[in-house]
Parts: sequence; C-alpha cells; structure tokens
Amino acid sequence: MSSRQTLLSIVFFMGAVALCGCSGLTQMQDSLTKFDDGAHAVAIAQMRFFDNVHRIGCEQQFYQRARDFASSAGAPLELGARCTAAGNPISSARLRTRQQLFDAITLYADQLQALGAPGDQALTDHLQSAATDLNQLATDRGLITATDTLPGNVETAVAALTRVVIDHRRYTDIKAAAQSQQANLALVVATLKRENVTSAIAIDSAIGTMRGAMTEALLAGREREREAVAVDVVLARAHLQAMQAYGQSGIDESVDDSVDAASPALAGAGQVARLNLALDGLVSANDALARADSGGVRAAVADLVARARAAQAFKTALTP
Amino acid sequence: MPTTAQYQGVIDALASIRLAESALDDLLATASGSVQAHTLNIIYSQLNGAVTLLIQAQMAADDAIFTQASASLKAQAAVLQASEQALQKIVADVGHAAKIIDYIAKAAALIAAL
Repeated sequence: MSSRQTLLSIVFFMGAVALCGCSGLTQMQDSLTKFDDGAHAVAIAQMRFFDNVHRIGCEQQFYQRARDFASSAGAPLELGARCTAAGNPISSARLRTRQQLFDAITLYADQLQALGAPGDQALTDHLQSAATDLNQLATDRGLITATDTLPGNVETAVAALTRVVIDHRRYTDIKAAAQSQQANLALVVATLKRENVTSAIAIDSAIGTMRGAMTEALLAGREREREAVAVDVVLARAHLQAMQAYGQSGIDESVDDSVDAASPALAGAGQVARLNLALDGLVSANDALARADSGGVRAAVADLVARARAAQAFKTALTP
Repeated sequence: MPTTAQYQGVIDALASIRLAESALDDLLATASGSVQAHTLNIIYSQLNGAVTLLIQAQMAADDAIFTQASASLKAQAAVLQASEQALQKIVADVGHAAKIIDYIAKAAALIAAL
C-alpha cells in the first residue's frame, strides 16, 4: 500500500468513526428530547386532571348550597360563595404542591436533555433559579403543608431531582444522572398514582351526591311542571356526564377510537388508567436511560410519548 | 403510620361504602317521588362524608392525620346506623334495602375496629 493509500484509508476510517459517533449522539439527543417532551406532556395531563378534581369538589359544594337553598326557605342564595378546602379531594394548596412535584420532574427532564446537547449544559437562568427555589423549599421541609397527605420522603425526592439541575457540572454522564434519580422518580410517581386512584373514588362519590340532588330536584319539578322539566333533565345529564369522565371507570366520549388505534393497550381505558400508564412510562423511560441501552431507550421513550399523548387526548370539559 | 390491619380495614370499609352508594344510586334512579328521593339523598350525602374521611385515612402519611381521620370516622358510625334505620322505613324493596344495610353495617363494623 502506498503512503497516499494509507493516508486515505486513515482519513476514511476516522471519518467513519466520526460519523458513527455523530449518529449515536444524534439518536441519544433525539431520545432525550422526546423524554423531555414526554415528561412535560404527562405533567400537563396530570395537572389538568388534578385541576378538574379540584373543580368537581367545588361543584359539589355549590350543589350542596343550591340544594339547601331550594329545600329551605331560610337558606341564603350564595351564588358567589367561594369554594372551601374542607371536603375537597384536592384543595388549592394541594394543587400547588402537585404542580411543584411536576416542576421538579420536568426540570430534571430538561436538564437530562441539556446534558445530551453539545456546548453549555446549564439550563437558562430562569429554570436554574426555579430549581434552586424548589430545592430550598423541599430541603427546608416547606413543600408539604401540615394538612397534606403526601409522605415526607417526597420532599427528599424533590430536593434530589432539582439538585441535578443545580449541580449539572457534577452530572456530566446521562446514565449516571438517570441512575441517581430512578428511585426518586419512582417514589414521586407511586405517590401520584395512588392519589389518582383515590381522587377518582372521591369523584365517583361526589358525583353520586350531585346525581342524588339533581334527581330529587327533577322529581319535584316533574310533580309541578310535568313536560317542562324535560329540558332540565337534558341539562342535568350533560353536566353529570362531563364529570363522570373523571371517575374510576370514566371514559371520555369526546375522544374517538383513533387514539385507541394508536395505543391499543389503552383502548377503552379511563383517564386515571391512562394517567397511571403515562406515569409508569416516565419511570420506565428513565430506567432505560439509566441502563444506557440505546435500543431500549428508543422503545421506552416512544412508549412514554404514546402514553402521554393518550393521557393528553382526554379533554372532556367539565361544564356543557 | 397506620398498621397493615388498619390500612386494610380502611380499604375494605371504603369498598363497602362505595357498594352501598352504587346500590343507592339504583334506588334513586327508580325513586317514586321527590320525598323518597330526598331521604335517599340525605343518606347518600352521609355516605359521601364517610368516603371523604376514609380517603383521608387511607392517604394519611403520619399518625396525627390518621388518628384524626379515624376519630371522625368513629363519630360518623352512629350516623351510618341511623341511615340503616331510615332506609328500612322508606324502601319497599326489602331485598335491595337489606343489601344496602348490609354494606353499611359492614363498613361501620370495620370503622369501629380502626
């Protein structure tokens, strides 16, 4: 082989190595971007669910007051009364704490994506500042209010997840970063999944009380007004149907079967099942990143994105 | 933290109350008039109160919250017993009423044992 041929071979070999490396890096970057997108999508779907649980709790309080007003001459008509925390499955304070749990998860996912990108691996000043504030709050045990039911170790997990953003120079390896947070992520997710199930039970029971109040009112209306009450029956049905979608076996009738076709495992699943599957997908995708098996990462991240989309597709409005 | 037996008691009581609510739903759907619906509705509201407390106890992360929730639940047990009597008076379908009463009684016994 001439010296020119040898030189060409070396250049060709080095180019091939560089291309392989580049392609591997691009695939990992792509997976990390999808992981981040998936985490944000799960957070949006989950917070929408919690917000609706909170609103259904408020609706129930309003119905109780409406029933009191209708059945007792002395009861005041409080159309502008504020919703109270007592008896609401997710109070405003709890809603804020759940948002902070997801902030910790999405900040962590943002940081993993940044670690996979070339150049500066720090998040923006705004996100770093958010991570620092959240970390301080969790470290000072100020995240969970006295009346909240979240276990204390959730605060430890939040502190650890946000620490990845603050100490991003320490976590230069994606595999090591994902490994270090697997247990923390799994703990937060397990807590949220449990809360989803109990929220759905609370909703089912709350809807039952409203259905009872509506049935009573409709029966009384029929005794006086006969056919005229049919319009009220239609309105009552629409109102209850929208809320039922958030119960344990609730199905969103506005979502057609094209979503199920894209994710056969979710066909016919209610919103709580969809959310819990999406949350599981988040833990599985992080676990795949922790194992750094590129084929496994791609599959797990694709699964997370599909599950998150299915959870996000659930958009039943609470009021007709 | 509640013991495993207490935790299971809460879960079983919750399941029993939900079964009672579901059976009560069927009765409400076929209520003969607003007076009967009114009584059934009051009973449903009482069961809903028990559900809220049971969920609080189930999710309790520390002793103080669990103790508070179980104390409130025990106070609620008397209300549940009154519900049983009210049901017997207004429901013509004896079998259906007995089924609901059985669920409520089971839940009340589990709550008393917390």
